[in-house]
Amino acid sequence: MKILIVDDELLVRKSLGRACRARGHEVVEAADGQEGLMRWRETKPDLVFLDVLMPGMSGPEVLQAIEQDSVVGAASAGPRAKVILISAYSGEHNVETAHQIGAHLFVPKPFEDIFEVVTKAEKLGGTQ
Amino acid sequence: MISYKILWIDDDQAILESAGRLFRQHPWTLCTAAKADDARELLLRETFAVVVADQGLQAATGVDILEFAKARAPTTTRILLTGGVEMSVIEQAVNRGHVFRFVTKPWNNDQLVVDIAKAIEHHKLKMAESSLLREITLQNRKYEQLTSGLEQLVNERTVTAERSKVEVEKQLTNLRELVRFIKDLSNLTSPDELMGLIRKEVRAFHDVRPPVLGYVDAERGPMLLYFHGKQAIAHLARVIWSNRSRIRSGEEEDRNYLMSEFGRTFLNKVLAVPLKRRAAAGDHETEPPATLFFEHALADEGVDRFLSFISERLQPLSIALDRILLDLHLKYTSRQWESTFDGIKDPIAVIDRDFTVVNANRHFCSDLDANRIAGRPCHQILASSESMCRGCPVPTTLTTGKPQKGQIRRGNRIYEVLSYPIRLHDNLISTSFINHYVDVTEARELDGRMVQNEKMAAIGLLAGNIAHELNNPLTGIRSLAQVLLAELPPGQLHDDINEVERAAGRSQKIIENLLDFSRGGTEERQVRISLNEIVRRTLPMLKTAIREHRSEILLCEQEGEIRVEPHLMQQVVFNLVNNACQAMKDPGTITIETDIEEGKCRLHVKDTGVGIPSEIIESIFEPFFTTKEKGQGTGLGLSMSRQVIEKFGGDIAVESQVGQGTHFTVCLPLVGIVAESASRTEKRAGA
Repeated sequence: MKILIVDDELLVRKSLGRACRARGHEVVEAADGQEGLMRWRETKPDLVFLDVLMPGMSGPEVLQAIEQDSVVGAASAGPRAKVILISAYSGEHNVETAHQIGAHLFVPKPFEDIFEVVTKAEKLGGTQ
Repeated sequence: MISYKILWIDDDQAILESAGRLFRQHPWTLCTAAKADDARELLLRETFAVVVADQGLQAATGVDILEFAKARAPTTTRILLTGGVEMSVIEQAVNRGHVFRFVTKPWNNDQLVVDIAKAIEHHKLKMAESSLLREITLQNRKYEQLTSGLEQLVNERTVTAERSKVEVEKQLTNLRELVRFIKDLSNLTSPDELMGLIRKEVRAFHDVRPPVLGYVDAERGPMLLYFHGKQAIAHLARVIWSNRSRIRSGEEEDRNYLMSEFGRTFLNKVLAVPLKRRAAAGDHETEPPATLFFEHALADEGVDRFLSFISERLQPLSIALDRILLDLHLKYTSRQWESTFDGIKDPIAVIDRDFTVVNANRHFCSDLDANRIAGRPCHQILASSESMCRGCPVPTTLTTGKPQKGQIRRGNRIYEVLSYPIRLHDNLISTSFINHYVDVTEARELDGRMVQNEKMAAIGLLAGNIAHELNNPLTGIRSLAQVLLAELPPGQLHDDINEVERAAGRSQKIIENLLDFSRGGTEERQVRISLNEIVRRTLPMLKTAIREHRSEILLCEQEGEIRVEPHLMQQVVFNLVNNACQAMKDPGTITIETDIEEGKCRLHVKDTGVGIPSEIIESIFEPFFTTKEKGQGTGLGLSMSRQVIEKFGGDIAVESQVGQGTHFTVCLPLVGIVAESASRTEKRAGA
């Protein structure tokens, strides 16, 4: 499975990326929303970890842009990647609001166990 | 000069001679007689001033002679000469002879002279008397003649006079009765008493029953006052009686009215006597006049008599009732004002410019007798202070003449004082003030709490932001550690990374608690949580405070659950422990202990600090009470803690000994007990 990780926190990208790779997935990383949107369009991932609060472009804004793509029939259009919204501001988002903005799952930070998060992603991506 | 003649009768020649010798020295003419017959002859021929007769004469007794002398000339004074004193002689002498003196033989010359002189005086008196009598008799006779002609006329006149005298007497009695009635009226203070008097007054009319009085009471409305036996009873009139102001005799309307009010039959006639309306009755036009109802069985003539009797008394009665009702009204009005002021929860007082209380409501003098307050200074009564309260606005009111505000303390309460000058004339300086005291303790507390809440909210926001900022890297640290652990083979490095992972985990927990704790201001649901857990969650935040002291954390082996809002309860624990630490100027021991007793979950926070003096221990839970330096504490920590605990159905108590330390105990209802294994005891030496 091709996984895109969009998070401005280096250690989060690193740990999540490493855990995913350890499970045999292909990982693409992006350090902010802008880069995330670019990589998303480029690589057409199966699954995206999307942080909410990032400098420049926030996670929901990235999602909105992707939605826009499918409407105008851009090149990136096609079967849409599954999205896991991750956020430290748990008060701001929950599973429900995540659904509303087009994400499939919400995982609050901090993670209790990184591998559990990867397992959730695999379930969502249908690789497990 | 008249020489008074004395006749001496004695058959003893020697006595007559010695008397003659004796009398020669006096301006008296002595005649003597030795025999009774001679004496009688002399008495018939001449008039003597004094006759002295010896009792023991041969042909008669002295008394006989004296009796004769009296018959002949009553003005002659009579003296009886005796040898001894026999009762029978004395009796005769007094009864028959009307003797002036007894002289016993042998006599004392001086005494005899005195007796004779007295006898002559007596004679003179008798003479004067008789001449006067004679004159009077003569005059009387003259008058009699004069008046006899008038008598007829006078007789005629007298008859007329007698008749009018009776009339006048009757009128006078009437008037006296009326005056007494008016006087009696002036002493009455209630309609009941008035009724009693009317009843007494009409008692003379046997066919008139005790009266019924309808009047309008300022407080209760239209009342009917009647007699039940001797007792005057008042009841609220269901319907108002006739509004007419004319005396009515035997009208059905009045009888029907009474029958419907009293629910009984009135067989007799009813006389309705409306009393005169109040002089200043401008606004009472709609009220019926007070009316007296008499049920009676009088014949027509009797009615007239009774009516004139009542009419005479109508005016004073009306005035008296007016006065009584006005009095009651005044009393009611002033009582109304009084109870209005007393009903106000705030103390209110009228004071002089020298702070002397003139009048005050009940709440001003809470536990004092109202009449003991007048004349005493307000600060003495209100705040038990000998000097003016700090913050009192009265001096400013005095100088500016305008209403002023100020805040004073009364015990542990804070009052806002609104002082209004009372100005009787626009241009005069006011000499007294109305002070209205409003207890603003709660309001201030609320203000303080709002500030505190805002502060907490701000801290919460800040803490929340920081916590979130930390969460990001912490997630990275912990997750990376977890990934590395999975990749690393067992060994030193693995162990070290494991430590990093665990430390990150702990940090995560602390941040979580901090977020919980700072969620102040937002209403949270009460949840079941173990008291131990609350303590465990709070401890990390107290590390700095506790650091320099030795701490003993003795958590109960059983996890006693309570029902609270966790972040509030954490604040309580935080406050108590923080206070305990601050109470210890030098490093000491702080003990945090939980236990379960009698369905209560208890938290003990003990310190070995300075302790709380007994005189302020009562106040420590009061809002704004603080012993800390300005800026160090709000004085709200303990009061809020108590409020929080009471909200959860618990209580907080304190014991303290100066120099030994303080022990706070929080008791909360136990709602359940969970796993026993989670407990722990931790002892740690101060850093």
